[in-house]
Amino acid sequence: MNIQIFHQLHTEGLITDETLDKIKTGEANRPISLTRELKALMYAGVLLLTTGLGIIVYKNLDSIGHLAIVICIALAAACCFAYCAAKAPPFSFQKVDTANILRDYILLLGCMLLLILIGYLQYQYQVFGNRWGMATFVPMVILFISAYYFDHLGVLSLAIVNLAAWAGITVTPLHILQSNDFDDARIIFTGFGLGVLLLVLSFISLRRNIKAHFSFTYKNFGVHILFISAIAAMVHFSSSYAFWFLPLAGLAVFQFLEAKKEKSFYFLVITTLYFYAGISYLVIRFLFQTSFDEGALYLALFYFIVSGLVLALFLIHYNKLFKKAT
Amino acid sequence: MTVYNTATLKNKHIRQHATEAFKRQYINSDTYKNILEKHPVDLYTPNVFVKIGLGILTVFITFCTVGFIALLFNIDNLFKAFLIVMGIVCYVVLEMMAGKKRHYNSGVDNILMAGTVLFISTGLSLGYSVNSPVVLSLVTCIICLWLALRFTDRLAAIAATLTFLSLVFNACVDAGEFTISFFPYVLLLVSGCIYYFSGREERSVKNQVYHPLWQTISVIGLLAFYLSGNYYVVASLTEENYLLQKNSALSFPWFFWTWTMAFPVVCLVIGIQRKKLLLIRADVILIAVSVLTFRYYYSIVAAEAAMVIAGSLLLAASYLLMQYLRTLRCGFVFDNTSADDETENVEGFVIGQTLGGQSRHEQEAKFGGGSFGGAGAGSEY
Repeated sequence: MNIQIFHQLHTEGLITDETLDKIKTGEANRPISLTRELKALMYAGVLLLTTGLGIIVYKNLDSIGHLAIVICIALAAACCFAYCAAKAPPFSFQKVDTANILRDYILLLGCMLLLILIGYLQYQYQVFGNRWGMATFVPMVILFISAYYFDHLGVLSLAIVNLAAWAGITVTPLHILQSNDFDDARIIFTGFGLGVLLLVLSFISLRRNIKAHFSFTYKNFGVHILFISAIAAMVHFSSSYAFWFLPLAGLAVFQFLEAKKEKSFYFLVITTLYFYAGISYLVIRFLFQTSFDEGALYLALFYFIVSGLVLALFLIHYNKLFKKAT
Repeated sequence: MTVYNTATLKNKHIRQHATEAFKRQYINSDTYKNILEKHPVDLYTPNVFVKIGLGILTVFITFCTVGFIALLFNIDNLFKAFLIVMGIVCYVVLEMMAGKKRHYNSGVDNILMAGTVLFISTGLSLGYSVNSPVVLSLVTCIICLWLALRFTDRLAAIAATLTFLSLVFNACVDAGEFTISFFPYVLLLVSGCIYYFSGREERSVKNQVYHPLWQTISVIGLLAFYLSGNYYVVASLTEENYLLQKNSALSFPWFFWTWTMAFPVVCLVIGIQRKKLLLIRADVILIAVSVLTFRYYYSIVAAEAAMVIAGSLLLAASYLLMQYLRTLRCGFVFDNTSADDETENVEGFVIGQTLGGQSRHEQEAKFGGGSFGGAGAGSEY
């Protein structure tokens, strides 16, 4: 803080002599918190260590003694879980305020080691035989249990990613489009099912007050996967694209009302943008239904300019409304 | 010079300080409200998500408008001039949005600024004999500098600093063989001056209007100061063309290696001594850069082994520091309190994104009951 600003406020008569002294003394003796920086370093450590271990195991599948790898990783994972269990506060369905940040990261490390271990065991020893689904189902169950027992949002995210992997799709937001073949009806319907399931879980978490703070994470994954599946359905089932617009519209209206109720800027923006993508697809299909002529191209560009402006005004309007309400 | 009311920008700066003082419980709520009341701000700065949404829509509208006009007037032969005109149009709209609608970091103004720079520089670089890197970086620097001063924009300030450094580099290369071999030292001098003077202006109370700009330029100046002497950066720039290779600036490799390895450590010590959090954060990044530079030239162990070692060291170091800073030491502390819900949600998202991977379970091979008929009589298989 710039103390001279407070001198200025003092001159303006907005703060007293005592307050100015309090600010000066407070700032001179204020400890600087390195919490964020150390947490970031610890997270970078977990990321580097698990990525490095994953590559080592992958590259040396045939050269290192298999048993040695299994024992080392299993021991390390067991130590991590044992440490977390020893330091864990009693289980509660409410949010547990942890005072031990280190435990959170050790748990994360343990979970990642566990995923590496199970993947390796399945690859090398086929412990689940040909039931490859079990290789994602088992870690998913362990991750969900860990997330709830140790109250960890990061592990919950990993569990949801594994749940989706078990169902056959990728849900990490930045890979959701590039890693899934949304031209496959099975993927689209799986997406619908998974999205609805996650939204229901979010609703239950909140309504029943079972780890209510997990609600956002479930909803975030659920909303993205549902919207993308709905738009993909419009594109895939091209003969009945207008019909497939209905679930998208229904979802958008529902999410918009929810966002309004919760005053959530985030859900307002993503709902608006996904719905706009759906409507635009509808308009473009309609314009180019007969032929790809210059007139249709002009109309399409004109539509994008006008609709973009309207949407920007819509966002500005709701931003003002939400700000007033909060 | 700025499009906004100077008093409003000053008030904004004062409000930020008052909010910080209120959070730290130096002032009570009545004093806080009184300060806010006496320092009104009428700028439009929306929530961060709305800002991103508005930014995306502005990109969309800008490109569609450019496409629409290009089609309408069939400007195949005048494309370069057309781009410059579009840059000017972007600027005019920007003036209106910022001047009349008071948009300040709303996503709309940021994208229009980027559009102005992008269209004008692309138009210039495509033709009109302005393909000399010196002229191009000079023009871009002037535009960015004007935008930074006019709209007090951090991104424009970063672009102005970087294009200015690019201008210095290109001028050194163009000036002759003597200056070529000295370009890292010239860059060191210039970026050092940028860091020093921007830091001084940042601390001055007279520059409340441009305070965020000086703060940003100061960080960029520090990073540029280090990178100007970083061995890898200098070697990469030297490989740019024949003249640079012939008059290699790396005739004193010991200087660049010392700079690469020692600078971040010295700066970290200074940052800790002066208790400058921004400097400490920047230095941690610089230390990572110096380790990567060393590893690029002297790879002692394989990448994966290096990752395991670095990861273990980071975990151990952060753990020890957390333990050490549980009580106040030299003015630094580790608050062992959990983050708020919003931060936790963001952390959860980042963990899911980075550690979650992309793997998905593929359906097991299904062996359906194929049918066959004798002598090719059946069509199914």
